[in-house]
Amino acid sequence: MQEITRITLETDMDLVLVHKRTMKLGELAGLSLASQTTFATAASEVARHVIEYGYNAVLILGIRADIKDPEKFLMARVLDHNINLTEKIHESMVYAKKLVDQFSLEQTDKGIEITLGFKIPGAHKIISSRIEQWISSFSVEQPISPYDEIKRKNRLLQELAEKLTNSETQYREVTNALPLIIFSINEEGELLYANSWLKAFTGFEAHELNENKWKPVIREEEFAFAWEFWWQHVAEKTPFKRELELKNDSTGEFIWHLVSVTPVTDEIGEALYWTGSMVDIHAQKVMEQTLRDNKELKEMKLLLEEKVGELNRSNQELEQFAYAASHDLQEPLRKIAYYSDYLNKHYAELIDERGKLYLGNMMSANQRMTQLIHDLLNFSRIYRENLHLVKTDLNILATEAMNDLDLAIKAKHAQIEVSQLPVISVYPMQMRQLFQNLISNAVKFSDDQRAPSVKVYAETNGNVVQLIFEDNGVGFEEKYLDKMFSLFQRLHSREKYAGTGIGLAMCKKIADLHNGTITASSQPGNGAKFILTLPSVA
Amino acid sequence: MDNTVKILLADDDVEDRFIMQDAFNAINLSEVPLLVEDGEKVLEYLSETHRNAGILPSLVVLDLNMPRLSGTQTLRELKSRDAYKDIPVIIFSSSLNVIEMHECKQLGALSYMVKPFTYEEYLLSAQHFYDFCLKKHSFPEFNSLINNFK
Repeated sequence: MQEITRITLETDMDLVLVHKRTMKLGELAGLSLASQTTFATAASEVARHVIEYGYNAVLILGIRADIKDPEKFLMARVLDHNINLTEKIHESMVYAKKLVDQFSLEQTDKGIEITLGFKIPGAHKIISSRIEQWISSFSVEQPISPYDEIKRKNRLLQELAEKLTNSETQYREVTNALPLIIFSINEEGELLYANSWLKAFTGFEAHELNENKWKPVIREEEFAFAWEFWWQHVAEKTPFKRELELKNDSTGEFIWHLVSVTPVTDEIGEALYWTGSMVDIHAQKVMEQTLRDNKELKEMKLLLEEKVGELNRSNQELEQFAYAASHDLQEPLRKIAYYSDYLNKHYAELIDERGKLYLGNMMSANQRMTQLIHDLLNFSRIYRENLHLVKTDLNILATEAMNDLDLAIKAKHAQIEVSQLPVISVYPMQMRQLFQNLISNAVKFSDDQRAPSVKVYAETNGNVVQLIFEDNGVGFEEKYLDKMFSLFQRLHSREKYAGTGIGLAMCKKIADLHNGTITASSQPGNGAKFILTLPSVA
Repeated sequence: MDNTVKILLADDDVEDRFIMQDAFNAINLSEVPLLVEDGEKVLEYLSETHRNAGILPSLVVLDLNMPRLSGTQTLRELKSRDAYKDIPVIIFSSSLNVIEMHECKQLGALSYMVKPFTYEEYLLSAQHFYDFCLKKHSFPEFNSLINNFK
């Protein structure tokens, strides 16, 4: 049988269609109106039966034009999926059977198949090309009735719905499989839909994030800014992008994402909702950061080199200054010293007492100036260049320093007690200078009430060595501690204690040179304790 | 007084030259010092004396910081010429500078002295220069000077 058209059999309305189509087919086949009616009635009877008792039935209209058989038949075949339909064989079926030339009812595993055959008189005229025309006339058939139209539309809609369901399922499957967050969101910032990656990455469902406003997944310090950004751009109704760190549920790390959001608008441009994605751009960010760091590092390096250059220049200037100071400043001083000495020697008798006093004052001022320049030069000579660390017995340095101070020590009847000191790597000349300065100070700032007593000893604490210089002198107020180690800072009048205010500054510079520190503790009148802390490997 | 002893002293500072002459005068050796104002004058004097087959000075005393030809440059010149290289040279500087001290030692100076601060010391220096020429005085070695400086 060659199919020409088919009609699904669901409601009584379908019977009208069955009748109309069967009549039409009969007409196309050249049947008389009476024969058309007979065939249509038979088909309608069967259709009515299956609509009433059957399930999921369909009527197929066709033609049987077997080449071997000179006879040709119009066919109406009803397929029904109710297996038990045979038992319901009804009067109408018997009636239909009487109206047609052929009738068969077959039971299959899917249901039943009822076939009606109606002989076409003068069938030799029917050729296959005509049958094609019939098929197309049915397929382009204009809606015969509003019902037919509704039914056709319904079928189309159903197909569309089916396709839509399929495509939506497919879409969900695809989006869920993607390693990025895809979402739609309303103007209030509430997620309408999100693919499963949202939960996989953040550990939160869309509705949970709507409740907690994303707070657990955004950095605390960024939270307010991120929402501010959202409100601002939502108001503009234009697509926007922003980089944002989102917390990964499984690792607890914040991972950089690129958030892209686009408004979906209606025909008048009102935003209905927003769609967007959040893509992991962490690797890129890290790389960018690394590149930036690298660039910064290079810039820093350049800056540093520049600074080193400047420093070298300024060091050079300092050396030139030291040189100039040593020559040019000392030269006039020497002259003043010489002439005042000459005056004092040869003309003392010619000037009065006041003149002699002033001359003496001038000479001692000159001497102080000479000392100052001398100390300043020594101070400026302390820099690392051309220095080498030498493993040195500090006991020997202490002895040498004491020898240099022999006069002062004897003059003050000072008692200096040096306990066993370690052997460590130091710049020997500078360290000797430090010993000399500290012991000299200890002897110098003595209390009139008692003979100076100085103790020098060492303590090892982990990887540092502390050298302690303890005296019983006048001490100092600790609020002057910082000031004390600065250049030219003096705590006493010159009349009481001579000095240029360079000694302790020099000690600090020497401590720095050894990557160490120097500090002191004291109470006025109760002696002082200077503590030099050096790394064991200086 | 031995008239053959001559000491050639170079100093650009007119006061220093005056003080030095004064010191020699005070110890009755006013004819001994030959005072010139820089290194070029030292070389000029020596070449002229040499050309006239005169008697070269027994000692050259050089200030370091002089215009045109400095003390060290003059020293280098003197030590590079056979005619003068045996004349002892003493550096007479207004300050101690260990780098210059090393340099002068390497260039072959005999000793290094810091200019005195008092009249008495000047007299002593003048006397020492003269005594050295008569081999009655020796100046300290460079190494001990450098060590002292440290």
